[in-house]
Amino acid sequence: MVEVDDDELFAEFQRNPRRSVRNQIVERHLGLAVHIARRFSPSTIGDEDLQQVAMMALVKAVDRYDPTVGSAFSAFAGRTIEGEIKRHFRDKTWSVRVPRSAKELHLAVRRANDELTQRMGRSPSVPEVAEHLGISRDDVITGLSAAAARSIGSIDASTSEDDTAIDRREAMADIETGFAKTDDEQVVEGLLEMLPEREREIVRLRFYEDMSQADIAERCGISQMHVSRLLRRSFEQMRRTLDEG
Amino acid sequence: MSSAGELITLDLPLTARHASTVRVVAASLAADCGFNIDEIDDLRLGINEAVSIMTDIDAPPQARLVVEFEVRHATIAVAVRRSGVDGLGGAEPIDELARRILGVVVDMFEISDGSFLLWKSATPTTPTTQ
Repeated sequence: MVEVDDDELFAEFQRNPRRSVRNQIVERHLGLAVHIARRFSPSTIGDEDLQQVAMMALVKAVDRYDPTVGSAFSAFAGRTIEGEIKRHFRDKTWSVRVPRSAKELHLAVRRANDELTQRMGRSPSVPEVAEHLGISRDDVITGLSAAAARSIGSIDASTSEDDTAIDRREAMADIETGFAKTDDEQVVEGLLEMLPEREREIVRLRFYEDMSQADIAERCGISQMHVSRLLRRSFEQMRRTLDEG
Repeated sequence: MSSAGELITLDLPLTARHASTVRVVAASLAADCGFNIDEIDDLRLGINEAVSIMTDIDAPPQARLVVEFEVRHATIAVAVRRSGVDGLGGAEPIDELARRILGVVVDMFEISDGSFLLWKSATPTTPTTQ
């Protein structure tokens, strides 16, 4: 049987991300996971919990590794495993709880997006948010979509006053429903004029000058989350005005 | 749409209640394509507009909403169409506000042959350390 190297296995895994290929890669690097787990363990025989964390981190590393970036998998996996073990200690020691509910995830993802956008000067990717929060990619997607689940109602019915559910899509779903009936740009202009000055400016920048929330936040000197909140509030107000008019 | 990329098809009841399902799938595919959070949000908003427009009819119970995602490299093409709606099959003209919103959030959109089509690509970024 011909022995294949890591590069070939990763190429195969990228072409076809089958579990069996991933397991082959994981098995090749089990020793690394055990070695790092033992380094962090006070006992000579190692801590089973830590080894479990290290194994899971190794699997995560295989899923996340991008061979085109250039670093060797062992180096990347080592960093990932160490990061996960440190996070494990932090969570146990500091009682930092990974967000679990959809609402918690939504808030955590939005805040992470806000923080990372400021830090990196661009909107982060899903893997970057996942890494930052120590949650999975799927949890980030769930977090992004948590507000969308709420917006089902807002498309068809009244909007929530819960200020934590900040999502401009929700707001736009609201306003779209109302404006679809008018089909009159002048009505939009008129409603915009009724907004407070700052909100009017933010709405204009987003939809008339094609600026991202991050760019608007920078220009206005407020957080992206705040921009999102103001947009939502503005559109709710515009819709109410339209409905009551 | 062409069939050069990977195709993912959703077949749903023709109602706005299922817009969230379409958005979740769009977000997941976009994440795989390397879209950043803002781009995913924009795509979801564009999808929302398309689904809202296509579901804004009095549909019979058997009416379906068919959403096709074609994923190629860092680009997602989305086609939204109705089925099971005799005489109501085609997408209506896009109103001015929806046109404005879509113009902001997606790269391109059009109505063609009764389908609502939109395209969005991820912005290339310099990879950070792994």
